[in-house]
Amino acid sequence: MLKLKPVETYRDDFTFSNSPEAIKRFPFPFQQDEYRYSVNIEPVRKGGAGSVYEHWFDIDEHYLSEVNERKTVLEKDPRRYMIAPHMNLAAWDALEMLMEHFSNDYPELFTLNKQADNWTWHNHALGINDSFSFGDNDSLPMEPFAYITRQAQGDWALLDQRQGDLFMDGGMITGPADWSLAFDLGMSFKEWHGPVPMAHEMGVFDRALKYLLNIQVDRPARRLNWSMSINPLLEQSPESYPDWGHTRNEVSNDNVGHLVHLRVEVQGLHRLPRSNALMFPIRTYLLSLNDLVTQPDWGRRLRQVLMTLPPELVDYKGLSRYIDVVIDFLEPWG
Amino acid sequence: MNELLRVSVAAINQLAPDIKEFILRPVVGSELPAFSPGSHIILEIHDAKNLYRNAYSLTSSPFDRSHYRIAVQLQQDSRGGSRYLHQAMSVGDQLDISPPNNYFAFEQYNKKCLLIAGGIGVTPFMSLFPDKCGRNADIDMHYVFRDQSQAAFVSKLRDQLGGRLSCYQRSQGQRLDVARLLSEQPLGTHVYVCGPERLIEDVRHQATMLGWPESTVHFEKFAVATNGAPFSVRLKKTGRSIKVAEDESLLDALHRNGVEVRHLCRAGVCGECKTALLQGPAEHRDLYLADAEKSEFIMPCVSRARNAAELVLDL
Amino acid sequence: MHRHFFSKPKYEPLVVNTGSRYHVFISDEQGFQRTRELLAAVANNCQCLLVTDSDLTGMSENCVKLEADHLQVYLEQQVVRFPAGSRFYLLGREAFIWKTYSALLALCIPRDQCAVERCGSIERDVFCVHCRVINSAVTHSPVCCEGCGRELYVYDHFSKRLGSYMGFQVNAECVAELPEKELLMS
Repeated sequence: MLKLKPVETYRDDFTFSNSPEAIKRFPFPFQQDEYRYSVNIEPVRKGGAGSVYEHWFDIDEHYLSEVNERKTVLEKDPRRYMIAPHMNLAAWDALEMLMEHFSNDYPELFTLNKQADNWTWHNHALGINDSFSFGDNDSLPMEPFAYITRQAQGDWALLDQRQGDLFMDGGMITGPADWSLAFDLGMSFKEWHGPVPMAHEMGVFDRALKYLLNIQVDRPARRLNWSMSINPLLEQSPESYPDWGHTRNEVSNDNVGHLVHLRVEVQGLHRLPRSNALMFPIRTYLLSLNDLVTQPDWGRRLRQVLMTLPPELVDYKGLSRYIDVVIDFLEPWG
Repeated sequence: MNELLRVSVAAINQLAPDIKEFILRPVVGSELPAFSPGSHIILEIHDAKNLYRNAYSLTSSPFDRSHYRIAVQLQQDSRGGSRYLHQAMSVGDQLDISPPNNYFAFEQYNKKCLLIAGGIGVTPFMSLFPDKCGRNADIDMHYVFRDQSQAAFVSKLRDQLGGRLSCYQRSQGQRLDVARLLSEQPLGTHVYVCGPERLIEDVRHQATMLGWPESTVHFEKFAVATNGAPFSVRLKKTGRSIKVAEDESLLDALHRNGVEVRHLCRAGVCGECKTALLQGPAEHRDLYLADAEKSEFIMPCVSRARNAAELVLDL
Repeated sequence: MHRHFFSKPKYEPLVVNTGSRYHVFISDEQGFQRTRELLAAVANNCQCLLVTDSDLTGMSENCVKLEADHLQVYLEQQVVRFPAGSRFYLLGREAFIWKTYSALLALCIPRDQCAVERCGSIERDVFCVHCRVINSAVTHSPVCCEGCGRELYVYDHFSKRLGSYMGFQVNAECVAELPEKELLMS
C-alpha cells in the first residue's frame, strides 16, 4: 500500500528526503563499471512488485510534493506548459492512458468511471472530482494535457509523428535536466538532441528514431538517462540557471554527501492510439550520495563510472566543477 | 510479435451483394484498444483445411471502444479467407485478431486533406468520421466506384461530408480526372489514396508530374498479392529446402516449416521480417527496402522468387 | 567546445529546380544580390519578395518590396495563389531565412519545397532563455542581453522556429569568471 509523504520541497529549504523504501527502489542506472551512449531503448516489461518498473506510470511517496512543485513552477512561469493546436487529439489520448493506468494500478488513489463519453474522475489524494465529456475541451476545467499532467509525477512531452520523423509539439516540462521546452518546441528528434556529444557520430539517433517510429499501441519502450543535481533540485532548468548555477561551485568534502544527488530519468515511449503520436514521459528520481552509498555496490560502481566518463560527457552533464570531490567521497567504497 | 485479441461476431450486415460488414466485440472485458484512422486488423480465419490471415481496415469510430467494424468484400479469386467470412462465419462465432496497426496514418499537421478512394479502398477513410477533438484540416473526398452496390458507404459519407464528397460511378460513365483534380489543389494539400493499384499509380504519377513532394502523397495498397508461381527456398544455415506453394507467402511457408522469422505488418512495410538473401533472383513486392539493399535482402511477407527460381536465405 | 551540433544548420549554395511550375524567392537585403543571380535562371513563372524596412534603389521590377512586419500577412493572403509544386527559395541572414521558413511551415507548405541559402554577415539572433528576449545581430560571445542585462554564452543549439541560438548566463556558476568576448566564426 503506497504511503504518500506530506509535501516536501525541491527548492528554497529543500526538505525533500527519501525513505528507506524509496532508497531501495531507486532505479540505479549503471549495469557496468563504465558508461557510454548506446541505443539503450528496450520494450517495457513489468517489473517486480513495489519496483519503479511495476507499473507503466510510477507513483511514489513523493506524489504530493511533486504535484505541489509543478503548481509552484507554473505559477512562476506558465510557459513550462506549451502545446501546439494540432496536438489536441494526442492530448486526449494521453489523458485516457494516464487515467486508465492510474485508476487501475493505484485504485486507492484514483477512480475512473466511464459511461460512453461521459467520464468521472476522482483523485482522492488531491480531492479532485470532475465529470466531463471525453474529447470535449470545454467540459474540463483546463486543457486535457495540462489537466492530467498536473496530477502526475515527472515531465511529459508529446511528439507528433509525421514525414518519417518526430516533432516535439507539446510538453509539460517543470522538472527538466537542463533543457528548455520554450526553446526546443517544434524541433525534430535529431534537432532537439543537437547538443548531445558523441552520440550523433555513433549513429545512435538514427537507430533510435527508427525504433521509435515503429512503436506499436500497447507495446511501449523505455530507456534510462542520468545526470547529477546539487540539492534535490527537480527544476534544473536553463531558465533558472542563474539561481542554481552557483551551487555547482559550492561542493566541498564536508557537504558533498548531502548536497550532491544522482538524478535518474526513467523515460517511456508510448504510442498514443488515435493520434498516432508518441507520449514521452520523463520520470525523475533523486538520491543523495549519502543515501546512495548505503546500497550494496552502488558507491563503488558509481565511482568507476565517473572515473571512466569521457571528458565530453563530464562537461555536457555539468559535472566538471565537482566530479573530483565526488570521486574522492566515494573512495572508501572502492 | 503481437498478442492476439479474441473477439466475437456481434452482427453481420449485408452492405452490397459482395460486401459484408462484421461487428466485432471483445470476449474479455468491454473495451477494445483505440486506434488511429487508417488502421487495420488482421483476422486469423480457420477453415477445415487452412489458416488464413487477412487484413481489414477498421471502419468504426476510434472513440467507440465497444466494438470494431470491418467491411469484407468477397474476392473472386479468394484463397479462402473472404469466402469463409462470407459463407461460413455466423453471429456468435469467435475469432482471433491482431491489435490494430497503421501503415496509412493521417498526419495531424495538414491544412488540407484530399482523400481519393477506389471501391473497397474507401474503408480506411471511414474511421475519420465523425471528426472529434478539433482536427482542423479542410477535407475534400473523391470516391470512385463501379456501381450502386457501394451505396451504403456513400450515404454514411454524405452525412458527414455533405458537399465535400464527390462520387464517380463508373457504370454511369463518370470518371475522375486525377490530373485536373490535383492541379486544382492549393499548395500544402496532402493527398491520401487507397484503392486498386491502377488508381494509386495514377495519383502518384500525376502528383509527381505536378511537382508535389513525396511527403504529401500517402497511399495504402489495398492487398499486396502474395501469391505467384511456386518456388523453393534453401536455408543456408540448416541446409533445409522448403517449398513455397503458389497461394502462400514465403513467410507463411517458413512458419509452416517451423522456421521462426520475426514479422509484424505482413504487408511489406514495416521492415520487421528483413532477411538476408544469399542467392537467387527475387521479385521484390515490398515498400521497405532501399534499392541498394535489394540484392542482399528480401521481405518474405510479400516478396517471392522471380521466374520460379530457387532462393537461398541466410536462415 | 567546438564540435558541430546537429541543430546548427549547414549551408550549401542554392540550386533552382528548373522543373518546378513556380518559384518564389524571398530575401532580405543581404540576400538580394544572390537572389538576382538566381532570378536570371528562371523565366516568368516566379515571384520575388524583398523583405526590408529600408528604401532600396536598384531593384528589378519583378520584385515586391515588403516591410518585415508585413511578410506574414502577405504570405497568408498569397498562399492560396501559389500552385502546388511551387518552390520557395529563402536567402539572407540566418535568422531571417529560418523565421521565414517557419512562417511557410505554419502555412503548411511542405518543408521539401523550401530551400535556404545563408548570405551576408554571419551575425546571429540569440534567444535569452532567462527572459526570452531575442537579441539581434550578435557577433560575439558572450553578449549582454538587451532584456535582462545578463552576460549570455552564445550556445550553438539553434531553433529554426525562433531563428535563434540559445543564450544562457555565462557566469552563473561563478560570477567572477567572465570570459573574454570572442568573435563568432560561423
